[in-house]
Amino acid sequence: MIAETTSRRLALSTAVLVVIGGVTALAGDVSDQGSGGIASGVLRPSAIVASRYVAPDGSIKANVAITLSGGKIKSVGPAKRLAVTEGVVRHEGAVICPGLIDVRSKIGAFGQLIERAHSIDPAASAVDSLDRNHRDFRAALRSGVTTAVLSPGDNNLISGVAVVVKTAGLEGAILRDDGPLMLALGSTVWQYDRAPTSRIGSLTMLRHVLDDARRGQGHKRITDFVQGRLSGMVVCDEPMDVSAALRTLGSGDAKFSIVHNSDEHSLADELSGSGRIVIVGPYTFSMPQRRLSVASALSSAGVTVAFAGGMPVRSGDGLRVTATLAVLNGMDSAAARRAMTITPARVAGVDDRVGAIRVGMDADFVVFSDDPLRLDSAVLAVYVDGLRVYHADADPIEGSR
Amino acid sequence: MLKAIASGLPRFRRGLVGVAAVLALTASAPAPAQLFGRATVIRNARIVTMNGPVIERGSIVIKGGVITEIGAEVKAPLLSRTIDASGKTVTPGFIDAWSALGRLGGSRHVDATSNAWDAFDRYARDDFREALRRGVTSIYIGAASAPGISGTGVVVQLIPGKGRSAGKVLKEDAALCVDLGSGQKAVARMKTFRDLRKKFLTAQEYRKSLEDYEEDLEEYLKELKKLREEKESAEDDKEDDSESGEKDDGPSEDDEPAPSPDEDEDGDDEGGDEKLGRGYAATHSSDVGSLRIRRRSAEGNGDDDKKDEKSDEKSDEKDGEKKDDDELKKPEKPKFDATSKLLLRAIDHELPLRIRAHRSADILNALELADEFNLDIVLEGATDAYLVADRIADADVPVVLGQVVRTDVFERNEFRRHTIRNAAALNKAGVRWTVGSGARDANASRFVAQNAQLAWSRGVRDNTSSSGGPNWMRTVTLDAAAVLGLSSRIGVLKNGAQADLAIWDGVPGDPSSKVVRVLVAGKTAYLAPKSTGGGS
Repeated sequence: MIAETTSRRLALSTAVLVVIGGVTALAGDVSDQGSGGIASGVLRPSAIVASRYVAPDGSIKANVAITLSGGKIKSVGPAKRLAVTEGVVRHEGAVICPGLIDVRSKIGAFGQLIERAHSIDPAASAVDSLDRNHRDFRAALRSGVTTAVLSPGDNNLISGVAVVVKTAGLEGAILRDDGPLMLALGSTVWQYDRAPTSRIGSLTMLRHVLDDARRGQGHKRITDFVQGRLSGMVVCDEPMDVSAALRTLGSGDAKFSIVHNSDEHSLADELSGSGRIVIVGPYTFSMPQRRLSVASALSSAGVTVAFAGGMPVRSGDGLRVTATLAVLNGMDSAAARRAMTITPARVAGVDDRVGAIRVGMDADFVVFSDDPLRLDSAVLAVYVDGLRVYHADADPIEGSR
Repeated sequence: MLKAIASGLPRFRRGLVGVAAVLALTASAPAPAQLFGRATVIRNARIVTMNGPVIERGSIVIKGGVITEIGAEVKAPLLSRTIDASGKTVTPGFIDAWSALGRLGGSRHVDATSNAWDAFDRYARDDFREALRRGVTSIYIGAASAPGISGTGVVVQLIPGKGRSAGKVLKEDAALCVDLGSGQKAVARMKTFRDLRKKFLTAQEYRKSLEDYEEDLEEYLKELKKLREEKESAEDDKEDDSESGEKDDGPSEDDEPAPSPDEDEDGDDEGGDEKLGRGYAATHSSDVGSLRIRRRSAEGNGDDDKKDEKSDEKSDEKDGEKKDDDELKKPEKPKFDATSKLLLRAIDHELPLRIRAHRSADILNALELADEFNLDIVLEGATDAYLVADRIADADVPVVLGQVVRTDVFERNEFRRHTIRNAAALNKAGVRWTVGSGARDANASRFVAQNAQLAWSRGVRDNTSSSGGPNWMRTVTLDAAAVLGLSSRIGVLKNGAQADLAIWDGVPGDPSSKVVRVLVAGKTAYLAPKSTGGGS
């Protein structure tokens, strides 16, 4: 497993090298337009200085200097104590935020992640549907989404593993192709032409599969899941599916998060002791207040919440809209900022790489003109692996979405 | 003791000034509320007026639902009610320039004479409360969105009403709603536009026929008079000829009472009436009286000459012949046409046209229509506006955008070219624009300010507008009021403006700050519950 990761990282770094050429072209004309405080031509700064930044706990702190080395964060400290002078990019008035993470995306693979034949399909991998050259990746960068999790469809009890991918560049660097194992309960799973065909049937079937796995039978991914070596994401349509998931999976060693988006506030009590991360959203302006306040209710009850973005059906800005709506309905601001950065990174199992501005993490940042929770704050620039991959001034407004 | 009196004196004088102010107000605007109503004073507030620099610590005096004084120092009238807003920010109430809040029902069976107020649910109090809670105080609701003309939209203020109802019309006939074919296929779109254009042509014809009628009537009356005078003189000549006298009396009685032009305003008593609201042309051709007028107007002077000749002949001929009486027929008033009448108001710049057009082709059609008939139009939706921004700027047509982030963008619908950067492109081209919630559902209305914030998240660096407040706030206050034709009444805090305002416990635009109180026309429309936990 470790060897596998190392080799993938090697592949990744070569991929990044290949990408640089493409990205330079992508960033287009980098002539200094004097706005946003972005020095011209600095595509790979040695340090970034900003008036404010989103700290790992989700709060906004003043004056930060982040030094970078080899695409990683070398140090994070007060701007005054910055030693380097060469290649420093200053963002006056701006807020540096970790690259946003859309944990429920179909980006670059919309409509191609549904396999209907088998309801237990652990061998499926979302990476097989990934179109790394898809234009939606560019749209994602514009909105500050630097990492996306693509998961197989929600129509199978066990539908395979997700892929975790960085959105920058044409290559779409893959962080993990053995992302969380996707499970689903509820009506989307029932099909008339194959089992299960009912709620009771689906739980019976799932229990059999899990019991087999606990006895060491069945697919390796399911065994890994029940023994806690491979995390899972369980999609729960109805509030009762959440209860079923906790009842069926909760007692063992399995590590999983719950995807649930109803307006049932009372679930907060049930989930608060479970230690499970709950993925809510995407929220839209059209939703009733009762539904929009679930994130706040869960968060207040001590449940860790992550937000789902839902690209490309939803815009890349949908993630921030979701977070803002949650805060408007009472959620703590810091928790909301975490819910689109480090918390989804934890769900995806990549929190050692992305999701926070911390020493040793990948240098993936979004430079916002203001607090990312303010919907009028603009994405001024995006850095991935220390490389500037998006610059608003070099992005003609007249272009398509 | 003396000292106390002395110190009390200025206060007494201030009171006098207050009384004088009340008297002055009474003289200028004798509204009963201003006469007897108690003034409200909001004190110690940070005021974003949208009418100049932010007042860091100031007060607002409200009387009769209107702001009577605003500034760092104000003179409060006697016995005024005080709202202390220390540490709080006051902004104008937000306006949703394209809302579906409180709107009930579907889009069927509407025509140009429909009115959005008829479908407004005044008892949707919970929805209103949610909107008020986010600072929204006024909304524009359009008539149903059916292809073609679907009626007039209204501006409603979310003021508490009698019983459990709420909402009051702030502006009736805010706009005539036109939809250039949302969700229609190409052929249907063409037809929609063609029919719309035809209706305007019909309206112009209708006006012409009315004018011709007036002319004809005048001429008719003149001739009638002439004829009668001739008859009278003839009678004078042959006083003893009783036969002709009898014959004269009959027809003259029929035609005698000089018909006033408004006599048959209702148009109902005229024969051969068809349903109102139909295209004028349809009923027109079957109308013999009007037909005559039309032919006459079409052929111009030649016809007039002929007629003159005829009347000359007439006068040459001796009276007493029935044929002559038939020839001198009273002109028939054109059938009342409600649709044309409305469209004429649009042509006369009394009623703006709100044209929903998403695709670039539809937008260009709308501009063409405005140009052809010299109409005041507002573009609504305008998904593709960024593609034709220069054309919109040239025509100086304002735009009301809907949802800035859409969740329904598919290859084959209206919104396939949707971009969050539409507003930024309009900015760049110099187009006047604002943002509404998009009229898709009632819920979205309360987040109109957030929608405006999203619109400003692209293409701008300096986020402070010249009006003193942030750009996004200008969009949902000044700019929205302007597009609704209500500038200086709503969307701004200044003397004489309506007292629609929101009091915030933090920075407006920051999602963690809350509205603590909302006034609509000076009345408290929303008051936050005392226990407000959470936040950051």
